[in-house]
Amino acid sequence: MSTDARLRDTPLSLDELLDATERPDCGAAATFTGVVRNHNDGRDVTHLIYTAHTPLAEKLIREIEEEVRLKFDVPECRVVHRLGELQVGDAAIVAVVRAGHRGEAFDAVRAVVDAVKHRVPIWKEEFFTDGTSQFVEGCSLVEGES
Amino acid sequence: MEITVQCFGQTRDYLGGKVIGVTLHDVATVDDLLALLAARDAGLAELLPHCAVAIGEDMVPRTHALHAGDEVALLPPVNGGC
Repeated sequence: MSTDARLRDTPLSLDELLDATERPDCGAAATFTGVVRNHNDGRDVTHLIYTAHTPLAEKLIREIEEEVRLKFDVPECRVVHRLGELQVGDAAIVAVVRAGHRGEAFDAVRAVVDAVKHRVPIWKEEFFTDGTSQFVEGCSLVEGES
Repeated sequence: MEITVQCFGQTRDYLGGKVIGVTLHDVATVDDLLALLAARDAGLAELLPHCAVAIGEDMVPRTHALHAGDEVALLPPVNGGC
């Protein structure tokens, strides 16, 4: 996994993201991995396809990381999101925050994952065992609406 | 004028492809484009008010003036993560 791209169409590696953000002055490394589950709203899910407006999504993820670094005063905050077809159990998103102590690390990793989910142009289409599919209801990016 | 619309998420299903060409009056805004697209399909007309619009890496407001050759991205509500 490249240490730079925030969007990948190949399997994600939390270990590589931890290696890329290693710092001797941080006593806490909080991580999050979002994994494809086999059901949603009572329906059996076979797989997902994630698509994105890639240039805009790359830009916005970097902006969100910087916002979170400043807001929570954490030196490292990184997110990588997967694109393409994912099977149940595959990682869709990985995030790492390194901080002096656990409190701000936990808060920041939650904040960055929430912000990416709500503000970055990425779309999830779910495919079901009955052969149908649908885009999951999402968060509007229209200013003033979300 | 001719512009290109990049369709993301479920807008692809309504508009029949990832990229479509649209012909507009020579003086037109994002709002004019959305009104033209809304006339194509009732389901799309319901979705478009909730779609953001971007040109390149910048979000643009409904009042933004379009230019010939613009590539306009339609961004329906998003749902990354898990």
